[in-house]
Amino acid sequence: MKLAALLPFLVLAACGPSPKKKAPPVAPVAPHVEPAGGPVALAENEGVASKNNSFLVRLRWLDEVTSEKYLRAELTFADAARGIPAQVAGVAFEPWMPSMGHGTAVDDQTIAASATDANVFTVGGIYLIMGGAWEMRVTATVDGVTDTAAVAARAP
Amino acid sequence: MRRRALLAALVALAAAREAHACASCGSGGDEPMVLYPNEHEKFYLGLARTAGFQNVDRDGALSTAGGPSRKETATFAFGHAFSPRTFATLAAPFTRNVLGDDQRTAFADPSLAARHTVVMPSLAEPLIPQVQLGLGYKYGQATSIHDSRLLKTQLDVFGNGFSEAKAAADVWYGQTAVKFGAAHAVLVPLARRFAGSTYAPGLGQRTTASVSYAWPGMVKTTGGANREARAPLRIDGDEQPDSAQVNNALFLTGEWMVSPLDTARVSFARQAAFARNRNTARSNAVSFAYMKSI
Repeated sequence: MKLAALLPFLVLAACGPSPKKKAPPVAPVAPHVEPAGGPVALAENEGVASKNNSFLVRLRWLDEVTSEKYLRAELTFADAARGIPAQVAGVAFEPWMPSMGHGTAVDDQTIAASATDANVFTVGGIYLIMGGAWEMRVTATVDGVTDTAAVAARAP
Repeated sequence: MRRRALLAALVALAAAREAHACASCGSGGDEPMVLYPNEHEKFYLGLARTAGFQNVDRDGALSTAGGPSRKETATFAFGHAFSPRTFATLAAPFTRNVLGDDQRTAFADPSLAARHTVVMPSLAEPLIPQVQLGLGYKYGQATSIHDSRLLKTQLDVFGNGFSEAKAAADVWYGQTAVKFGAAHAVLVPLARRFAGSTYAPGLGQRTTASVSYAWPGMVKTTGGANREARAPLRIDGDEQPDSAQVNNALFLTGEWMVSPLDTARVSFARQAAFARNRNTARSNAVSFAYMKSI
């Protein structure tokens, strides 16, 4: 009985580091160097450029794209050099069907800035009224310049 | 004896009507009725039910249409002949949009049309067709998708939002055993402003070909196809990419001459029915109509 009570301590002692063993070598931490223009917001193949190349935006759907259901999307903005912009303001999101010349109902749409990343926004309540080829028109003022990007989407 | 005389009169009248029918009559794309040379005035009541909506996108692929699951339309029309060669019709459709338990009703776009027969068919020369020229105007007063207040359900959408003028020519061979003809209409939509932008739909071309056969017993069947193509939409002068439209439709109509003054018609039409369609909607429509000339 006494032996059984001591068993966990014996096991822990056997697994623990031996005070005589040397610690494994740790590679020295390289000092963090920011790439030219600051940290990268979007990788090389990510994002869609705005009309006047003022900014890039990546749209990531948080729900499967379909019509007649509420959807959410995440927008990540980058400056023209793919760096994190100093300021993103006035974000607007307009789903548009260019081939039909109309948009959709936006009364339930919400846009919220991320609590941690100033260049990331979440759009909720996106409602595509029909299936087909859509264009998500994202307007924003990035580092003081207002521009619009169009991101393609298709609803079945 | 009297009954036989009446039957003979009906047969003769039916033959005359066949000679004076037209290629675009009953196709669903043009005015709902025509007046024959012996008719002075005519009333029309049509009931149509359209369902099975699907969107056809720019690549011809089918997708969810959204909006009402069915549309029911009652069309009242009146026609007046100014001469045996010239008549005009006024049509007023009243539509109910239905989606689940919800529905809305409203007047759709009324239209005015006139036709003039430039070449009359002649028994002496059966190979010379009847040729009609027509003008029409549709008044785009109904709520469209551009000014809808119920955009999620589109229950208040009863038209495309645009007034439209039309010029048409119709050639009909009505004196052969199997009657046939073709029609072509140029559709000129008028630009309109919505939410601060000017929308200018493209010019439309509608071509109709139809074949008709008269059965014994005052019944005739007409089948045909029409193709409507529209140039791209412009908003504030900018052409909208991939916005040109094409719709290839099929229709089948059965018409029964109830009496010398009364005609009943049943029609089936399928929009975006064959070949390559673009930026349009597929649907199936069944309609019943009763026409009475006075």
